[in-house]
Amino acid sequence: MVMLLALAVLAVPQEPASPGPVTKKPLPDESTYVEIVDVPLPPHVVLEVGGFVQFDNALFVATRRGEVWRIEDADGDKPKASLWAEGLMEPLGLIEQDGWLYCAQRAELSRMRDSNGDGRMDELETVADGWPISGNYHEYCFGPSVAGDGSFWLTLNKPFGGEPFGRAPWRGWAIRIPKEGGSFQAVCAGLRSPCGIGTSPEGVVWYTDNQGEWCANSKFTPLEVGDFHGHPWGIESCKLPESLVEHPGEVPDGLRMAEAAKTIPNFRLPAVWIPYDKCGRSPGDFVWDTAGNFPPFQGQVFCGDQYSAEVFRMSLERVGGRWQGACYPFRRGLKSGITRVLWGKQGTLWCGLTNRGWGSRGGSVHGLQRLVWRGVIPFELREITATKKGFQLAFTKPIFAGSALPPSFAVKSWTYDHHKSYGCPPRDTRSHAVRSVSVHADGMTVEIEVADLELCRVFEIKCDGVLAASGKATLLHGAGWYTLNAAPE
Amino acid sequence: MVLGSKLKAMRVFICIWLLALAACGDPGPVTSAPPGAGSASGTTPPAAGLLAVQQGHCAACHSLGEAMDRELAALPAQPLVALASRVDLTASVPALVDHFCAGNVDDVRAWLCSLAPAQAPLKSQEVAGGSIERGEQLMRELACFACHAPADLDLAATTDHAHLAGFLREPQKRFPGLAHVPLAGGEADAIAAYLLRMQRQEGARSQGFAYECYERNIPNGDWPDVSGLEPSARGVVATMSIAVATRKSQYALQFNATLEVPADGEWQFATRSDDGSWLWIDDVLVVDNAGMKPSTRKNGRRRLSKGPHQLRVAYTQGSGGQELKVFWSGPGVDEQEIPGTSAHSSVMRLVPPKRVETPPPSDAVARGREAARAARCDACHRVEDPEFAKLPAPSRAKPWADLGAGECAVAAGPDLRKEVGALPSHITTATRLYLGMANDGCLACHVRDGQGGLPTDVQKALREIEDIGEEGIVPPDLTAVGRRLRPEWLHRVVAEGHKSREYVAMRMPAYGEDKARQYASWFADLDAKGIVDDEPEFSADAVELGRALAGTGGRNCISCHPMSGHDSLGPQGMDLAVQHQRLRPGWFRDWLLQPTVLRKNTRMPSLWLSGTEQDRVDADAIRTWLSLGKAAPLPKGIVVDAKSLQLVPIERPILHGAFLKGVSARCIAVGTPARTHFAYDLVEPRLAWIWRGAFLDSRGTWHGRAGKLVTPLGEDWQVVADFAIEGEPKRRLLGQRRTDDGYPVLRVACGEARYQDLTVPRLVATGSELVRTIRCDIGSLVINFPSTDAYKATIDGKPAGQHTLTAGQTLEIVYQW
Repeated sequence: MVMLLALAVLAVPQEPASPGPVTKKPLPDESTYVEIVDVPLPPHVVLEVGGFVQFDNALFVATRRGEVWRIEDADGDKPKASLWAEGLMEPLGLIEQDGWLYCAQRAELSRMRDSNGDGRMDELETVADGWPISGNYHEYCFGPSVAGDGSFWLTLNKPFGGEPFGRAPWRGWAIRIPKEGGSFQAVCAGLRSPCGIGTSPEGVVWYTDNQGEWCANSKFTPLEVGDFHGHPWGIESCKLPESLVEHPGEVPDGLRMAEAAKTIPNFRLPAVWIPYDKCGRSPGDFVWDTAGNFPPFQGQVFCGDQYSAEVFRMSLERVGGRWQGACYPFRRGLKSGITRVLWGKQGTLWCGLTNRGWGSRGGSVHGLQRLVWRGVIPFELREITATKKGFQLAFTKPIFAGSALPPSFAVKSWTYDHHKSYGCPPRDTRSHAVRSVSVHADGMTVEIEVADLELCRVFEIKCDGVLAASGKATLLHGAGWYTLNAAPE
Repeated sequence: MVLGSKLKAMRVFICIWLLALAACGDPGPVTSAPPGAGSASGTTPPAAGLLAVQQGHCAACHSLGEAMDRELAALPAQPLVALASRVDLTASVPALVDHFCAGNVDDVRAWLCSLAPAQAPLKSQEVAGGSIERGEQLMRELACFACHAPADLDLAATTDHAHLAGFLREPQKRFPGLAHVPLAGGEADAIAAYLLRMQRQEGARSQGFAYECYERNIPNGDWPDVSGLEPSARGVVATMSIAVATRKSQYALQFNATLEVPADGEWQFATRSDDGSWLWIDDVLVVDNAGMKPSTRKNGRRRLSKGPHQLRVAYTQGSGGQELKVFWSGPGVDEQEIPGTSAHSSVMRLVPPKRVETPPPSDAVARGREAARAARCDACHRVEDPEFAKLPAPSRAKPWADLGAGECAVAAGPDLRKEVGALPSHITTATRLYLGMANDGCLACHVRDGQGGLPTDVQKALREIEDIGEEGIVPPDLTAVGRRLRPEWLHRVVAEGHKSREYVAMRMPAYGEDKARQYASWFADLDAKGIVDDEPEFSADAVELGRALAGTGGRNCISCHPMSGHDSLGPQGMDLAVQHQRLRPGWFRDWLLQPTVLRKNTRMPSLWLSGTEQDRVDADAIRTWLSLGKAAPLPKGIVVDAKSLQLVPIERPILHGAFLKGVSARCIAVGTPARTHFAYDLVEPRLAWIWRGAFLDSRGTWHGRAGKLVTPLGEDWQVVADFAIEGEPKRRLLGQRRTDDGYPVLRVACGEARYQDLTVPRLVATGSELVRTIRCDIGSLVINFPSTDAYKATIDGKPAGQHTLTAGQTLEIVYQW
C-alpha cells in the first residue's frame, strides 16, 4: 500500500527545548559503523600495493616496487612479512589459480610459484606478452581479472608524457588472454587510466577510469567486446589483427554526451558516472559484496579512491538491457590513496594503499589497512533505482513518515562534454522539482516523482531531510548520484 | 726564533707586494706560508735561510753562484705578476718599498698606473643577509688564515664584490697554474662579502619576507640544487605566497626573514602547499610538507621565546595546481597567515669607493720608469712597457757573497743576510722537497718532520665534522708519507687535490700533473728507498675472512669506517674501499697491527694483540678483501640509509625491473653481493650491461612518478654486444627460474630451440668476472659471439667466434673487464 502524504500537512517536528546543560551524545559518524584497522609493519616493508590475494594461509601483496611480500597473520597483532619475489615490473594485480599466483607486469602476464617451499618464488612463467611499452611511467598494466569464461583480462594505461622508446600500440586498451595462455585479443579501446578492473558475479569484467582528457568524469562500466570508451589515443591499433574493435574514425571534440553516444561508432556511455570531488576523484579497484560482508549493502559494489582515501558504494540495475546505477559515500579517512580492495574475513575489506606519483588525502604514502564492519546498521540511503517518473530510494531502516515530503529532497542533474580538455565540469546543470513522495508499505522505501527527467544525465539526489522512524535520526550520508542512461519501460 | 719572525714578516711583505700589484680589479694571489710559522716544534728548519733568499728572489739580482742560481731557478717559486696595474705603494711594507724604490715611491706608482689598462668602474652589489658572517666562518673552516693574514685582505678600498667573487671562483683565470683551495660559487660570494665588509651599507630594514625565486625543474617535489644560481627574482614581500613566482610551473621559492615573536610560549606553524614546502625556525625543521601532491596541510610546533627568530620557508612547484600558505598561532595570536608586519628582512649592499681617474703626470711616470729600471724590477716581473727596455740597464748587482753588512735590510730590522748565515753550496733532495713544500704552501697546513703545520689560532678555529680527535680536523702529517701512500695515490692527491678524508673540512688544492710527478718522486726517494713490500697472495677464503673481520661480529672496522660510500655505524672515518689503492702493503699491515706506534694519539685502536702469526694472516686477509676494490663484497652490519633508494646487495642478489637507458623498457638488472652486476633486456632476451661497484639507484623506478631511464651507479660499465643466433630467429622470453641463492635463470625460446641463460659473479685476484652459462634444452643453436675491445669474453676457454650447442650441452662464457 502506498500512502500519499500531502505537502504542508505536517510541520517538521522540533526537538523539545533542553531545560539546561546536558552532556551531548556525539552524533554517530562513519566510524560508528566501520572501523579502520592499520596493519603494523616494519619500515623496510614498503607496501605500495599493486595487488593482493589470500593464499596458503597468508596475504600475498604485490607492490609497485616489483616485489611480492608474503604476510602471515596479516589481520593479527603481529603480522610477519617476508619477501617472496622481487624484480618484477610494477605488478598491478595479483590473483591465485591452481597454486599459481598470476600478476600483470608492465609488459607481460606472468604466473609464479614457490616450487620448493622455501618461502621464495622460484618459477615465473610468461603466460602472455606482446604489448610493448614505450618507456613512459604511466604505461601501467592492471589485472588480471578472470572473466566467466576463464580468460584473463588486463587494462593498459595510456602514457602521460614522453615515450623514449617510441610510440607503442595497444595503450588505452583492454585485452584478454585465453585461459590456456598464448596470444591476446584486444577487446575494448578508448580507456585512459583504468586502474580498477574486476569481474561481476555474472562473469563480466568491469573497469573504472579516471577523469582527464577525453574522459569527462570518472566512471565505472562493463568492458564489452568491441566497445570504444572515448579516448582516441590508441585507436590506430584498431587496424591491427588482434583488435576486436572497429575503428571509430576521427573522434569529434566537444560533443555533449547524449550526442557523442549517438554519433561516435561503438561509443559506450558508462554505467555509473562518479562525480568528480562529490564522490572521490580517482576511482581504483572495486569488489562486489555478494556475501553480505557489509550486510545492508549486499550485492552492491565497493570501490576505493586513489585520491580521496575513501571507499564508496555503487548500486547497479539493468535498464533497457544495459547496466546503470548510482554511487554513494561510504567510509572516508584511510591513510592514503586506495588502489586495491579485497574481501578478507567475514565483514572485513582489505584496502591496499599507495599515492606515489599523484598524492592523496591521508598522511601516508603507502600501506595496508582494512575496513571492519562493527555490526551496527547505519541509517543510510541504501539504493537509488530509476522509475518511469523518477526514482525509488531504499533506506536501510524504516523512515519517519512525517519526513517523507518533497522538501526533504533536492534533485539536480547535469551532463558532460566529450572533449580533449582535461576533465569536464558539470554542463547544463538543472534543478528538478520533486513533485511527490510516496512511502512503500515496508516503511523503508520511497518513490519520488521528479519533474523534467531527461536521459544521458547524472542525477544528484539529496535526501537530508529524511529521518529515521526510530529516534528521528538523520541520515549518515544523505546523497547519491544516479546515472540515467535509459528509463524503465 | 728570530729568523722565524723575520720570515713571517717576509711573508707579509710578499703577500702585500703581490696583492698591491694586483689590486684595482682583481686581487693578486697570496701564496706560500712561511715554514715554521706555526710549527708545533718551533725549530728553525735547516734550509730556512735558503728559503728566505729564494722567497725574496734575492738571487735574481744577487748571484749565489752559477750552479746554485740554476738550481734555485728550477725549483717551485712564488708566482709573480706582470707589472701593468695601478698600485697603491703606500699600502706596502715600507722596507720593501725602500729596498726597491728608494725615495721614488710616488714616481714608481705613477709609472705603474700609466701601464694599467683603463679600469671598469666599480659596482655596488646586493648580497644576502648573513653573507659576511658566512664568509668569515668559511675562511676559518677552510683555514684561509694559514696563508692569508686577516689584516692583509682588506680589499674594500680597491675592488668590488663582482670582481673579487669572480676572482675567488676562478683564480687560475688570472694566475694560470696557481694552486688554490677550490671554492663553490656561493662560497666565493660569501668570502668576497666578508673581505669587502668595510663596504657594507645596511639596507633599510624592511618589513616582510626576503624571497628568491628559482626557475628549475622539479621532477618529484624535492628542493632543487640552486647553489651558485642567480634567482629569477628576489625582493621583499609582505605575504609568503606563490605571487612572487616568475612562472607557473617548475620553480622553487625561498623566503627568509627575522620573525618577531610577540610572546614566550608554544607556537604552531603550518604550511598548506601544492607541491612541497618546508619551514625552519632557527635552522630547525619545524614543518615538513614535502612531496608532489595536491594542496596538503602540515603542522609543527616549537617553543619559542619572545623576540627575534630566524624564519626560513622553502616551496617547490612541479606542474598543475600551485599554492603556498604559511600560518602561525600562539599565545595571543589566533591562527592566521604569518603577517609581514611580524617579520623583517634586510638586504645588504656592498658599496665600493668611487674611483677617481687622474692620469699620472708624465714627468713622474718617466722618473718612476727610471727608478724601476734601476731597481731591476724586470729581474722578477714581466714589464709591459716598451720604454722600459730602452733605458740603460743598471750595472750588475753585487753577488750575494759580496754584500756587506747592512746592505740587506728588506724586512726592516736586523740584516737578513746576517740572519740567513752561510748558504749551502749544493741542494739535496731533502732541501728541494723542503723548498718546494714551503713555496707551494704545503707546510702552511701540513707538518713534515716537525716542520710546518697550522698556526695554533688557525687550528683552534677549525670545524670538527666527526668525533675522531685531531686526526679529524687537521690535514695529515706528511712525515714518511712516501712509505705510507702508494706513489700513484700520492700523485692523485697532489695533482687533483683528491680527498679521502671526507671528515676534514679543509680542502687540498690541485697542483697539477707536473708538481704531482715531482712530489711523488721526491717522497719515494726520501721515504721509501729500498722498501720492498709485497701484496699477500689472493684467495677467495682470504676475501671472506677479511670481509668477516671488517664486519659486525668480526673486528668491527665498520663501527668507524664507511665502506664503498655506505656509512659506518659510528663516526665516519676514512672509507675502507680505497685503502688498498691508497696504502702500501707493508705500511697497511703495520698500521693494522700497531697503529699507535705509527701515529701517537691516533683513534685507531690496536685490535690485534695476540702477537701470533694469526695477526698477520688477519691483516693480510683484510688487504686481500680490499684488493677487490669496487668488487669487494660489503661487510656484515653495514646499514643502508633507510631514506636512500640506493639498492645495495649484501647477502643476496637484488633483482630490479626497470627501464634501462638505451636498452628497453622491459629489463631486469641484477645486483650481486660481489658488487659485480649485470642487466638483461627481456624484450628479446639478451645480456645488455655489465658493471662493478655501486649497483643502482632505484629512484628512477621507485621515487615519485618514476619511469626514469636508469643507468648504473657504479664504474667499469660496459655495454655488451650480445651473441647472435645463426639465422636470427626471434628470441622470446618463456619465463625465469630463480636459483636457490636468488639469481634469475632466463628461459628463452629461439625458433624451435629452447635454452636457459644464467649469469653469476666470481671473485678473482684481479677483482671479479662474470660467468654466464647457456644451456640448450631443446633443439640446437649456432651462436656467434662478437669480439670486442671493451671487455674480454672467453667461451669455453676459447676466444669469441662461432659455437654450436645442442640439447643437453652447455657453454660457459667468462666476461673479464
